[in-house]
Amino acid sequence: MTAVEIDDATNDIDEIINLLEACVRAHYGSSVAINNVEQATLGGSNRTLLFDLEDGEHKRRLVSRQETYTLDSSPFLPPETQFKLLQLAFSHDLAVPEPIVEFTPNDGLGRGHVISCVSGETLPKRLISDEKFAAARALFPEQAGQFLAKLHAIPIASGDFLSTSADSIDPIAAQRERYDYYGEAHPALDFAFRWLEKNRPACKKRTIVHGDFRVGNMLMGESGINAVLDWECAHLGDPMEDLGWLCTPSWRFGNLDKPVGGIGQRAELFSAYEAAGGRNVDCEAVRWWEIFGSLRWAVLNIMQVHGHRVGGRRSPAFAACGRNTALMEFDLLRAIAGQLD
Amino acid sequence: MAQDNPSVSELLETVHEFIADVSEKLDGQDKYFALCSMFLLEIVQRELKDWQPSITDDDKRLMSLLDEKSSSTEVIEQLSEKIKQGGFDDRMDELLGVLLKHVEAKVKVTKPSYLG
Repeated sequence: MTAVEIDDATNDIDEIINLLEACVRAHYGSSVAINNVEQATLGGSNRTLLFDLEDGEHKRRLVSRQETYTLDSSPFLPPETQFKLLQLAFSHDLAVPEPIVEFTPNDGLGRGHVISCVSGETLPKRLISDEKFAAARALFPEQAGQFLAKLHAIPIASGDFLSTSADSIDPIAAQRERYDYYGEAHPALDFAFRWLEKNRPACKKRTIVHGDFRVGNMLMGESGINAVLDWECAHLGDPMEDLGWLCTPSWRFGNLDKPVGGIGQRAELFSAYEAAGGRNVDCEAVRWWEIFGSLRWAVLNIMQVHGHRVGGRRSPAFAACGRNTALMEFDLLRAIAGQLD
Repeated sequence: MAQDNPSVSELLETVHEFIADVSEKLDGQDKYFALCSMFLLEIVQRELKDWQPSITDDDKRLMSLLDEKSSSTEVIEQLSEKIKQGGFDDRMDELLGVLLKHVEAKVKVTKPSYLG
């Protein structure tokens, strides 16, 4: 998999700001201006700028996200599909940033969009341990269950544009194809693929699935979830997958005795999900999806180290991903052996 | 035993690259120590060239699952292929036990605290 730097947009930050201003003026009118631009330092495959949109006395903080790298076999949804999803989620009153405007080729900014800026913290270490977020943590399993129930209630026909993705067609086959593409031999993962296929639960009703719903991908304030981000893994599938991913050991950030994001217990998440209109939770299916989650995260880590070794995306962090794959293998084998809650 | 990618030599190269990059932004003693660190990494790289890996208990356990004699790198690929082809579908529990020990051995190197 080769990373391709996007050539059709400038990398000069001053020029980007000018182009961005022109883009928002085309949307809001020529009286607006942008100020107080700040570049976010995290978020590898996008350039993220925060800026104030000002119109006389009115000021609003917005976020511009430009795609800067694309992978020729990317498992992630393109920016235009993510924007469409945000529009769908926002229209169903889900807690997501408001989608404002999508870039067009004429904007000279490449692929991407502008969304509203929502306040909050995303860093898991702070969210699961700072005293400031104690009240938010107490509410988290319930709020997470309610959010997912609301997402899964969106009529699946509205997400038809997701139906052709590999993950929508067959999630195990999708991971298998990616894993085979990277050409690395991992007997533990090969075993997990066989075990998952052999024990695959039946999906009672397909829904839109966020695909990466976890602590770290949501902005949280002292009262809980402010907005859910990062929709690039969304697809159609078993709603139990979203519950399972949230409880995958890697996303417990060391708190293995608190399956729900390293914060709470499954019972609270499941009862909130059902009370909010989600269908009856199949606990065994969720456990299966937790194991699938460890496999999927392992494959994503192999993707990162492949990018580092072969794909021109050199980084100590991506190198570390390669060796960290063993941790996910350990999680999924222990779970299969019944040694992990 | 065979570890996952990146190899130990590649890990050293990655760190060397990062220090080289950062050293351009440093001055004074910090820059000097960064250059020293790169020098030390280069020594380790050269020493590694003479290092001969030995057959570990993990290698022996994995090899016992296969019919052919293999090196520690080959056994991983051969085992992976045999599992994919369903060669252990009637021995999943046995395979799980061996693979757990194999993965524990890798985690012991990657992040021993993860073993609890």
